[in-house]
Amino acid sequence: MIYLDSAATTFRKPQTVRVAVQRAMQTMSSPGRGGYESARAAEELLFRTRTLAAELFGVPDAEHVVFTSSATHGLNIAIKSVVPVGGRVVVSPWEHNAVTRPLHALGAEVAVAAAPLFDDDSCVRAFSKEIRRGADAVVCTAASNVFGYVMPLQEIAAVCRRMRVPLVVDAAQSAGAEALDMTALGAAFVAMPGHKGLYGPQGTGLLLCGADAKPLLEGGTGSASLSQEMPDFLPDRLEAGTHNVPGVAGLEAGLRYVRGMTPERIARYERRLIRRASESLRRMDGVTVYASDDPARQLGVLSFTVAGRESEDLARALARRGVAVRAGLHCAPLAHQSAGTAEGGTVRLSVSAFTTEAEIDGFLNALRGILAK
Amino acid sequence: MDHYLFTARSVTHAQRMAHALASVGIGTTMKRVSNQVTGSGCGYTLQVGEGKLHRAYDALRASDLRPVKVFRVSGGELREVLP
Repeated sequence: MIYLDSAATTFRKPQTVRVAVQRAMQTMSSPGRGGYESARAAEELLFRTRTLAAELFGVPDAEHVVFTSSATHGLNIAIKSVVPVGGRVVVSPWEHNAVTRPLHALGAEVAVAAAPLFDDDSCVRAFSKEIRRGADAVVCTAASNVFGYVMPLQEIAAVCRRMRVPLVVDAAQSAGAEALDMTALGAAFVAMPGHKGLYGPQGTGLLLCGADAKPLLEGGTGSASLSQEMPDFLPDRLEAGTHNVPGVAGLEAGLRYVRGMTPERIARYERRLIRRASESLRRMDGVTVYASDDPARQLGVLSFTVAGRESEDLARALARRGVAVRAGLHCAPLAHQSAGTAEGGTVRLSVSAFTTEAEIDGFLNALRGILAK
Repeated sequence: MDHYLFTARSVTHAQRMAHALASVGIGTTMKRVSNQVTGSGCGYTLQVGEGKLHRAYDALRASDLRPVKVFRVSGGELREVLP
């Protein structure tokens, strides 16, 4: 299989991830619940992983790194911590349902900072304008899961700091492939999955906390157990119930892989692959490619459409030829409405550090074969 | 043997304190303790050796990692102390 759906999950992982998961299942029990060896091993794992993530993402201390089950889980905590019911929230035009659905559930007034795709100046101006109109929070993706557009996050964060508006960052697509410094951004929260660019297993995620957080779940934490209130300190406040220890073990191995490779190197490699794909796609009749002329503005995600062809049909045809891509709306209807692709969606290919140039060429050949029919 | 117990608000806090103390050459032992020590339910403490109280406390304060409480354990008796 040629796997080009890494924006959904990085299917191929470093070997160390699988080994770590298996070892954790054999040697680790519940952290924070006992003084015996297997509980201690789990506690050490969690602490090492928090510390590693704090170093990688510029979090001042490890207690502010919270384990979640996904970026969606983290975004729900973050959004429900900073957005009051019926509050006004400014978002980018490229948000995922993981952002827009929690906002909808809160009855928030959602103001979209409308700007064309890959246009940083317009984007920052639109955010400034909407924030000046009044905002309880800003929620912004670091990179679009549909188009790979790398948002001008530093500039948006600077506006938020100046206007004293809490910023929630959805780093679902960028974490691991784009350097991120929580302290420099001054963000209230940054949410990320473990199973995409951090190469951990599914069911893992991180929430980096820079503001007071409200628990989404209540339950046992192994601390302050006499109180019926959730602890008022992190990370326990947001981590009710037993941790996904094997998942965290895999995530730790993934984080070590990313740290060794460096996000900058991974991004450079992925951009080269995307450029290879986009240049060839642009030469095909009837193909519209959504790619930035400036490679720095795009991560390893690329969308395209073909005139007269349904995106889902194309994805099915590619799957029959052994190529895994994702078509449709990618759980981001707002992004497709903003780009004018909501009717039929797009075909999305997304790469990882394990994707090869030969696989990109294989995909292109398969598509040529389909379009020739 | 007489020693001190530095109580932590969580296992992560205890781990951070242990690492901060290790970085200044103070070895500790992390222990789970009951409500009798924490006063708030299950919890974690660091055992710090006799004669290291002030240096340990100062190191933690410098790292903004103060313990919740400090106890002196002497002859099996527990007494809260203020460094």
